[in-house]
Amino acid sequence: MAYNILIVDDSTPMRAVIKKVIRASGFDIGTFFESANGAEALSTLDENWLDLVLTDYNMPDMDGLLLLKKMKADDCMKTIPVVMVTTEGSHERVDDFLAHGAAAYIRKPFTPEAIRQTLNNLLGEPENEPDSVDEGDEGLDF
Amino acid sequence: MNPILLTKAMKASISEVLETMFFMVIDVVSESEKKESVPDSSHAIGVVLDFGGPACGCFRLMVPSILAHESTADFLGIDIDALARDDVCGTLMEMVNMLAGNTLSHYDADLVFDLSVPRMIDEEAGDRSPSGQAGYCSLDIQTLANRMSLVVNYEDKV
Repeated sequence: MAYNILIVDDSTPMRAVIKKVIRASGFDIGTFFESANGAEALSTLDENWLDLVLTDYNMPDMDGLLLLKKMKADDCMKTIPVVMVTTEGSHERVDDFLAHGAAAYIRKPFTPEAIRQTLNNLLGEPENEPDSVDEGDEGLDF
Repeated sequence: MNPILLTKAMKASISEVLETMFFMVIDVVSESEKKESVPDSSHAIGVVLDFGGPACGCFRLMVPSILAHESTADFLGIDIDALARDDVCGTLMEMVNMLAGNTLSHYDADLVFDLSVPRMIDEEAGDRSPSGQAGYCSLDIQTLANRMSLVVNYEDKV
């Protein structure tokens, strides 16, 4: 089964990095959708079939928590797992994410393994072997 | 804010963020450890992120241009010659976002701070370091060939 995944982050480079990590994790990906804030994400969710949403918290126009609340209040969107990927580390905020229905929380900075493990938990084991990860002077080649 | 705890939180955050996501080999140099050598601020790119909550202030990150380009290439996994200006600016803004979020979490995870969206520093437009705030902590970050700086200006709310 190919998964359609939505990545919501106002940072274009961060969206690119998350996409690379997921691609390298061996999951069968249908389409990656990208949004720069919660409001854009809701439009994307209205128009497309999504299997998973990974969202930042701190974004202009609509933050990730409000996006989460709106998704959980919508009959068509409420079953889509939402993973918060954010620098937010305060206990109160993290509790808030989980209390409002976030399926998981990944704190930035993250390792590729943290993303891979979270997706494994939510989507099951990937169909393909993850790419090997080389870490050296040239950096991590996702 | 307690400057000793804040400095400790900054050091922990710098190591986590730069080593985990930017693959840098770094050495953090605190104010008291700084010697005559100071970071070359010419050709540096600056980003700033404001925060509010129990204390307010800003994080200012200054990165030499060459290091900014190398870090961006490493972060995105693409060739340095293929980078666009937006790639570099976007990556530095994400870097300061992670440094700030992690520093404040390390400082006290029971406090809730609000972070602004990061922006590029435009000194020609008068975007200079705030002078009216009560305290600041400054750290230099030595990489293999360059040095960048992270400064936090803050003011406690009464």
